[in-house]
Amino acid sequence: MADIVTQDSTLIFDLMFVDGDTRTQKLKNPKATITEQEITELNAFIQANNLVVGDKYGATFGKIAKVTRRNETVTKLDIN
Amino acid sequence: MATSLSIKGKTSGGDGVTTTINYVNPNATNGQLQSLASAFNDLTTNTVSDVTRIDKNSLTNTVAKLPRNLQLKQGDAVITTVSNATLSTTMQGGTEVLIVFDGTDITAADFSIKMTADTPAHEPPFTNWYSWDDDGTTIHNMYLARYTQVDCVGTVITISLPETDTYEAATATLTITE
Repeated sequence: MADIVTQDSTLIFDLMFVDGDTRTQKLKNPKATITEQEITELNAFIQANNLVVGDKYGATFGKIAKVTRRNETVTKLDIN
Repeated sequence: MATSLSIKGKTSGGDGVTTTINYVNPNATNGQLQSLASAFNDLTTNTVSDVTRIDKNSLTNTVAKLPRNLQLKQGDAVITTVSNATLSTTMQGGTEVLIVFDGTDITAADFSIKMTADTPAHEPPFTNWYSWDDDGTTIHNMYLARYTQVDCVGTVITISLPETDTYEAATATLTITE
């Protein structure tokens, strides 16, 4: 058998709250192309509808501070 | 309360995939949460088959109100209570630790409590590890442990409540001093 190669991609959001803390939200299998506008619109949607809160008292959502795409190539080696 | 969304669906390759959106406002309506799930999923190549709202009771917030490293002197009768799901400690005569969960319906099957001590010398032969109300199923108060030795100074009690389907994980630390 040949080596088996898989590609995994994850979008990592740094959610920042007004107390300065950040929390991470991960999204599997992001689209190949994600525009800044899409993130901006998501951020605005969350803010406008108060949909995200921190896990501490009074931790109001601030903004999506950073979005990172992490790509991993996993190779299962054929050792036979 | 901690609310999250579990988005189940399939990848572009047809494999099952589950995405969890955390830190969701528990006061949001289900319609808003459905829209939030769609907004996040629109950034992926996954198709969605099911969106589930998961609400977990939070003992963590309750524990967070409890002073860290609460200093209890042997012989003191100290009561610290936190309302809502009340977590209180009572040290009476340096022999008892009583944890009270008031206003909650926690069954014996929901979780377990682990108590650790700072040194082996302070690991008492705990009696009454914890007990339930007379009905045997509902905890209204939990009698955590009773020290049989007189000197328990230096003992550090860590109460860890593991996460369950119903409750978040929670931790409280009590230190017994002179």
